[in-house]
Amino acid sequence: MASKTELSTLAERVVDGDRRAFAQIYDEIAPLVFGVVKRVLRDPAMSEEVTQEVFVEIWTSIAKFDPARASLSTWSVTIARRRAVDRVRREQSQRNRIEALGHQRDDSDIAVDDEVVANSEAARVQHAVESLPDDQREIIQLAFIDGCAHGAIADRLGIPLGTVKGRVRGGLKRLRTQLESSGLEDGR
Amino acid sequence: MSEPDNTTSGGDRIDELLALAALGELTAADERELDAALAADVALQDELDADLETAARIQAVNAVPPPAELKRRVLDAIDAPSVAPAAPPPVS
Repeated sequence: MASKTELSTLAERVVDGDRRAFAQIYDEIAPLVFGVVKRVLRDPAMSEEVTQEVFVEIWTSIAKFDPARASLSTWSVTIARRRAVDRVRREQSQRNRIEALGHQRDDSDIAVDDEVVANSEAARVQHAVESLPDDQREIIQLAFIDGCAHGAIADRLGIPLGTVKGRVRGGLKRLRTQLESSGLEDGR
Repeated sequence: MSEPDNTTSGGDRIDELLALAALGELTAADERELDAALAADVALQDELDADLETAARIQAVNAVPPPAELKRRVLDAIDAPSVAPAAPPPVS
């Protein structure tokens, strides 16, 4: 994986229309983007379509990327999440989404997770998530690992929307502290 | 979906907006509200950036390689005449 600085340098070249730099960025972050989109949407074909949309947005909006505020990976994952959620809003009713999320993970998901856990960054993040208080952990897992929208989480757990949002916020703050204290400061 | 609760205080509403931003679920109205809050409180931008980074790090656990042919489709898509990088914002 390229460093944050290397990705930022590539992004600068993309601003000038450098397609080769864009292709390098694709190679670096496509698994992140596709993984986020697929977790939210589940449907492989739709996930590919939205991933393509995400990369077109990265290409057209790269001038808005500010390396002082975020890494390119963070910026791209944020776009991916937003676009995937937008697609859910457009294409599926929330009820269908909840039903789909009731399914167990398929084998490919488990294989991917196992592979990723071998990576120390993923292992530390998972450890940090697991160490959250139960109420925050459940929501953080549903939101960011299982890819659920907050409305679906509220319906699934039978709690108010505001509670979901509060626990998302509280969970993220606590996780940030834990990740920082574990010395993991080179997040992508 | 992100309709503010009438009993929500200002600070709670900001927390709601930050949560929605991390979830990728801001509506256009939410975005305008958050932008206004960010303009009024410089420290809030750091909070938002930190939340987005933490959320991205969690979601990176889900990384999975896309089908190989998707790269060609993406590169073809950006070659469309109507798809060009936007100019950088003017320096004020």
